[in-house]
Amino acid sequence: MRRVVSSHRDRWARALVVAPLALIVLCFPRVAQAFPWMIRHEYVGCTTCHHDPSGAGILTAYGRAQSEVLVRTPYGKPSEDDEDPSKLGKFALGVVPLPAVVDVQADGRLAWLRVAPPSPAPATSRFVLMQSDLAGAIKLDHLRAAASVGYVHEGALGASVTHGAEDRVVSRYHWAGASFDDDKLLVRAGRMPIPFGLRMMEHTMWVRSATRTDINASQSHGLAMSLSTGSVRGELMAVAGNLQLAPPSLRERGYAGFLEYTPGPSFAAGASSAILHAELTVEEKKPAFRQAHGLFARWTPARPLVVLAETDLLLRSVRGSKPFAGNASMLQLDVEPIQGVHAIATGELLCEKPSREGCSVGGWGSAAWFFLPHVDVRADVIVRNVDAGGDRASVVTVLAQLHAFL
Amino acid sequence: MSPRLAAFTSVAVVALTAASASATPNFPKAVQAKLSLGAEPACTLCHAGPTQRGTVTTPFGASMRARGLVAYDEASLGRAIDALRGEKRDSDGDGKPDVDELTAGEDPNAGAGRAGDDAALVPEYGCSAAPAHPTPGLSPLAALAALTLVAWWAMRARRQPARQHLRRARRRSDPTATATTTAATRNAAGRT
Repeated sequence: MRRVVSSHRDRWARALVVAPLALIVLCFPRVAQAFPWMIRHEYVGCTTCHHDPSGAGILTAYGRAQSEVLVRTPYGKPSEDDEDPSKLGKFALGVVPLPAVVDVQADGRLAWLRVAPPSPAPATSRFVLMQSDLAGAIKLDHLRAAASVGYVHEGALGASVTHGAEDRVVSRYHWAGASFDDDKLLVRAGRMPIPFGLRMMEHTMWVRSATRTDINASQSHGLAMSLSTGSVRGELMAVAGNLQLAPPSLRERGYAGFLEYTPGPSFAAGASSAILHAELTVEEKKPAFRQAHGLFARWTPARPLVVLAETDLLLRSVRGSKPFAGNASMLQLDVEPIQGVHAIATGELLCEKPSREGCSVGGWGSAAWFFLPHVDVRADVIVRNVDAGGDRASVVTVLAQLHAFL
Repeated sequence: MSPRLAAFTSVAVVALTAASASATPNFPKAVQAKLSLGAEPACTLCHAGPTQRGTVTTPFGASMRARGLVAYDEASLGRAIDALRGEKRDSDGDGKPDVDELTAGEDPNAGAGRAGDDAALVPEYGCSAAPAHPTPGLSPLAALAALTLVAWWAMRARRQPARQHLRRARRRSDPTATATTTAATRNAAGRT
């Protein structure tokens, strides 16, 4: 009896410690984790680590354990007396046990951002709370469901649940579906990231922002079917539009999807396609088609190095206007000399209106360190040569991030 | 410091040192200084949707671009505001010039949609995004609530057989417990 009472007391004590922390992470706010470079560990698919079959968003219990074993820097040699590393990867570092069918994750991401526009405009710097989300997922027999809710002071408008320009509640994804054939096939409905190209956390990279397929706030509602086998993975989505956007005539409807083939554990390549139509555009107030079709690849020639590449053809046609074609491309090299420490170099290209201004080019130099369980830091220096109203201007952005999740 | 404690500390630091974000880098401050506003205007003054390229499409933002606003160029911002002031431009068609609305702490985009066919189209975000534009069908929040209920019911139903099995096993291994339970049941029913 004493044991039962003390177990109850322990449980309450744990709840009292963790609940305020979880609340703090939730109450203060963008981007979930999505690491296509996990191919260096021969993880070519996403379903084992993420509830979303195409990656990003809330982690599975297995994904949490792998974040401890493969993603973060280990210190010293593990001995038999050490705690089970997979336990540290669990929700709230294993302090609060969860039922096997439920996963919960709280994310907080704080950034310091400095933007140096061309002279004479002054450089500005500020702190940005990029993310404060709480997500939950259920895996019960054939049932699969996941949802996130969070707070943002500003930005992520497309994910808004409440109204207003500032201080809003956001839900980046909320979907439910059924899984078949040992999770090889998933049919789901709701709001989810648009399946297209490499699912990466750099949501402002041109391949993501120009195709409007980032995981920050570009999700859309619809019905999707995904396939994940050993050598082929893909997802096709019937896009019903962002139901959190009004008037409905502005919503983009159509399809989006990708298919990736993995001939071996160190290489994967795929193709993406999306055709979306809006009854009205904000700028022209006319019906418009927007298309994106592209190729992408991931390759790890040796374990420390991963090469990621994507190129997308952009097509836009507004009724009564001449259609135009453009391109967004990126090439990224990710080197991990010590487990958990990444040095990343990225080059990108954006040709939106090549006939007028030529193409924009950009370069990213980044470093990331997963230095503690559930905690990582990242720094980016981004130099972009952008279209500035008939001229080209170089803009330098410095971004430092601290991310933690429970 | 143990990794667990360090992680908790980092989470708390992330949360407690958070500050609010502002919109595009130098323009909100420049608009505030130019018009002597009490506070920096929000990014949504010019941006519809994410604060990135191609989203300066609000009525006010479109008016500013049409008057020579260039990204990162504060001089062009000043000239565009002067032009709006001189023209008494009313981008949202509510009868009040943009600059007057800004200095009065009002939103120069808020009246959009009332000025007839020529009015700008302003996106609104949020569930059932605007009373004027009711969203047919099930709202995302209602769907989420329904989903949670279904999941809870399914989990409860799944646990039920396990609980019954546990009760049966207890009765088999501890006859006293069964007797006590039976007596308690009788007491509860008033049959002593």
